[in-house]
Amino acid sequence: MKGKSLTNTIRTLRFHAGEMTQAELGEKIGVTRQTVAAIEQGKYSPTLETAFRIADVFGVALEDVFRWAEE
Amino acid sequence: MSFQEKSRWIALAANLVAWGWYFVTVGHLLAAGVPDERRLLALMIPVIIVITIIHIVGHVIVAVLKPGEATSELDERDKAIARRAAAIGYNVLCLGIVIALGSTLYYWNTFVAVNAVMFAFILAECVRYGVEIATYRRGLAG
Repeated sequence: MKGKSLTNTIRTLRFHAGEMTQAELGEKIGVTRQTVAAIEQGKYSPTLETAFRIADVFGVALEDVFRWAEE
Repeated sequence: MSFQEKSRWIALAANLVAWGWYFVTVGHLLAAGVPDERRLLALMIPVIIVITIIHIVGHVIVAVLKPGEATSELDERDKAIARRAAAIGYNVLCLGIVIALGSTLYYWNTFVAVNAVMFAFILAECVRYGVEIATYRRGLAG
C-alpha cells in the first residue's frame, strides 16, 4: 500500500461554502480549528465519523471530500 | 498552536525546571555521602510548589491571550495524540522501573531507591509530554 495517501478537498469545499473558516467548520463537526487545519494539510487522518460529518456539512459524498490517491 | 499543545509545553517546562533542580540537588547530596531519607520531603516541597506555580501562571497567561480556546475540550486528535504519547511514556516508565529496581539488588539504600524510581517516573512523564508536542508539530496521519 506504499505510495498512496489520504488526500482531501476540504479547502476547496470551504471556499465554495462562502469562505467558511476552519473554526466554523470545526465548530460544526466538533473539533478544534487546529484539528481542521491538520486534516486539511494531511497531518491527521480523521475518524470515519468525523469524515462523514465533514461530508455532511458540505452536502457531498464522502469520496468527494477524501480520496485514497497516489502521493 | 492549540491550547492543548501550549498546555503540554507548560507541563514539560514545569517538570524540567522543578525536577531538574531536584535531581541536580540530589546528585550533589549523594556526592557528599548518602543523606537521610527524611531529606526527601524537604526537597520535594519546593518542587511541588514550583510546579504548581508554573502550571497556574502559565495556563492563566495562555487563557488570557486566547480566552476562546482555553475552554475547548479535548477533541479526537488531542485524544489520539495523548494515547500515542501515553503508550510510549509507559514503555519508558516500565524500563526505568526495572532498571531502578534491578540496581537495588546490588546496592540498597532507601534514599537512592526512591530517587531512582522517581527519576524513572519523571523521565517517563517528560517523554510523554515531549512525544505529545512532537506529534502536534509533525502530525498524526495514517
